[in-house]
Amino acid sequence: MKRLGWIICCVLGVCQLTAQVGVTGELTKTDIMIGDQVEFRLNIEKTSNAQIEKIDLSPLDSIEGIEVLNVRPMDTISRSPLLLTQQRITLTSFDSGYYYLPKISVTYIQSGIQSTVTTNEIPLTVNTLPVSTDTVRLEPIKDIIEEPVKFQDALPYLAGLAGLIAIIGLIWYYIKKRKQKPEEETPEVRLPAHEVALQKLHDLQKAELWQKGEIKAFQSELTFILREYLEHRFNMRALESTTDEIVADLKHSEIDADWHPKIETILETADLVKFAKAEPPIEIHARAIEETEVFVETTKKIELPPEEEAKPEEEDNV
Amino acid sequence: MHVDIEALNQQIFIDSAFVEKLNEETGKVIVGQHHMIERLLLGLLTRGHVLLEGLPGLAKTLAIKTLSQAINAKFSRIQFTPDLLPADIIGTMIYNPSKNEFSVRKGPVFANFVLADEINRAPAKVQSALLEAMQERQVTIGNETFKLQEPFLVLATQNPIEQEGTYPLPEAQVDRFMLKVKITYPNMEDERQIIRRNLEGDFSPISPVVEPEEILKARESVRKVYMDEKIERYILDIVFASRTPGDYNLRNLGPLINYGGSPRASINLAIASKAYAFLKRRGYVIPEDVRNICHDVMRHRIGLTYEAEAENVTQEDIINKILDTVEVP
Repeated sequence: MKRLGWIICCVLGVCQLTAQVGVTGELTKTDIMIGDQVEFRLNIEKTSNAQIEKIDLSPLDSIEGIEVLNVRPMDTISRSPLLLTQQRITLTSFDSGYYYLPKISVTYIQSGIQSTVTTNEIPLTVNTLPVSTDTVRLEPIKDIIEEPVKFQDALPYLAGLAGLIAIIGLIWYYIKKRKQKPEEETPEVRLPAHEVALQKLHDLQKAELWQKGEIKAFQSELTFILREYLEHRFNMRALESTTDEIVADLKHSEIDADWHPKIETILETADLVKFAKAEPPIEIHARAIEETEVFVETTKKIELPPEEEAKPEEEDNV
Repeated sequence: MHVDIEALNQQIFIDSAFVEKLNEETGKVIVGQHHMIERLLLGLLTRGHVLLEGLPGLAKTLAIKTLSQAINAKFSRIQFTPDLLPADIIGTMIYNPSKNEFSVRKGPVFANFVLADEINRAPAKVQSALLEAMQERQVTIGNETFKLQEPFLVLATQNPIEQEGTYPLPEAQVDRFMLKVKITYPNMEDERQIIRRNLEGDFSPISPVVEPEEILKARESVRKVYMDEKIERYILDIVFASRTPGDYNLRNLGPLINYGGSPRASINLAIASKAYAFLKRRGYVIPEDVRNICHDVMRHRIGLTYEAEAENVTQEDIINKILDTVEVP
């Protein structure tokens, strides 16, 4: 019994001694594609009295085809029952093949004694893309892939179409309006000069202006009617001419010479009334309108039927 | 206001009697040029000034000199040249060493009739001096202001040719002249008379038939000449037609007129019409009076556009068109 107890104590003591510092290395993947990244984790497990002296990562740099991208600082993972620390190293490779990550040695001191532990070698396979072995056959050019039609794509065409319709509409409207215009226009009915004059003289008679004492208004209207008649009937510029000019023009007109002094008297009398506040005897007014009426009646242009129009000597009785 | 036209007519007939005497007297020396003499009298009766445009040798100087002799008025002539100074016209202060003081020497503008010959030959400064005297009817020399003697009439001439080296009067200055009269050549019969009189060398002396005081009195009579509101309307229509021809059925004149007659045109057209009626020995104005003086009052107050100049349209054409379109009352 005593012997059994002693053996147990020895085994536990040996285990205690061997479990001073433990180092393991592991890869997150052992099979990667070319260019992929893989993490190498270096785990160190030790007791509190063990002191890590050195971690030698240089073997990683020496592997041809493997590149070290990043080395992170040591990180504590757990503290009990032993202190577990971990260092992460990112690796990659651009050459396909089979690799072995070399042993990483960790040097430590415990109870004044320097010792070294190493990790085991870890295999890593770097695969490349599968390459088609049929390199002779040529593939045809692919068809254009058409995108689905959107409303925005059709918008410029729609706007152009609308503009075109508007222009056609405007042209159609303009042509229609132009065609309609002559139909809408009513021919100006111009009454013969004598009819206008006689109507106005009749209205003037009815207004009884001179009888009411408005002799200036009466004479102004009377001379206007007379001058308008001369202008429209004989093509004289009577409305824009003075009495002297009208009298001078009468000599060159087709009006019978007997009428010249009478017209002159009517116009001059009216000028005196209009511009010099003259107040001639009342019979002058009655005589002036009467003579004007007779003048218009006598010199009026008679409209002949179309068949008789060819006889110019009968056109008027001036 | 009640106006007794008959009495007024009688009065004007009496007051204007000197016109015939004047015409007779000037006719002794000047053959033809009735239009120019009439316009000079218009200027005299209305306190206006006259701008004459005509070629040399058309008796401009002789006309005004004769008129001044017939009115017994003082006449002076100023030949405008590029080196003329304002003091040469209005006068200046002269230092008298014996008295040790400055004394005023009045210029030729101190006369009743002043002939400013070729006014556009002098620089603007000299033109302004005369035009200011015309407007203000007074002249300031040193610190002293002198009233110009009435009647005071300036007759300025412009030569329509030889424009090189001249100083054309600005529109604003030209507007101060009441009338711009164009002098034309005499007709053949008048020119025959002119030759004969010059060959014989027998010019009858001009004797004064009117005193300046009578002219001043006549001015008062001119103001009394009756102008009906229809005539006023006619005058306004003419002036407004020159400003807004479109309103008077003269749309084609629109692009030809740069600017139309100013209110001064309306005023002068009215006054000149009255004076013309006075010269015709009438106490009231008729449309004939307005039409007669319209060209002389309006021609220098209408500005033409480049388009008008390119089409050789003149102020005369514009005025004729206006008169042919505006309805006579």
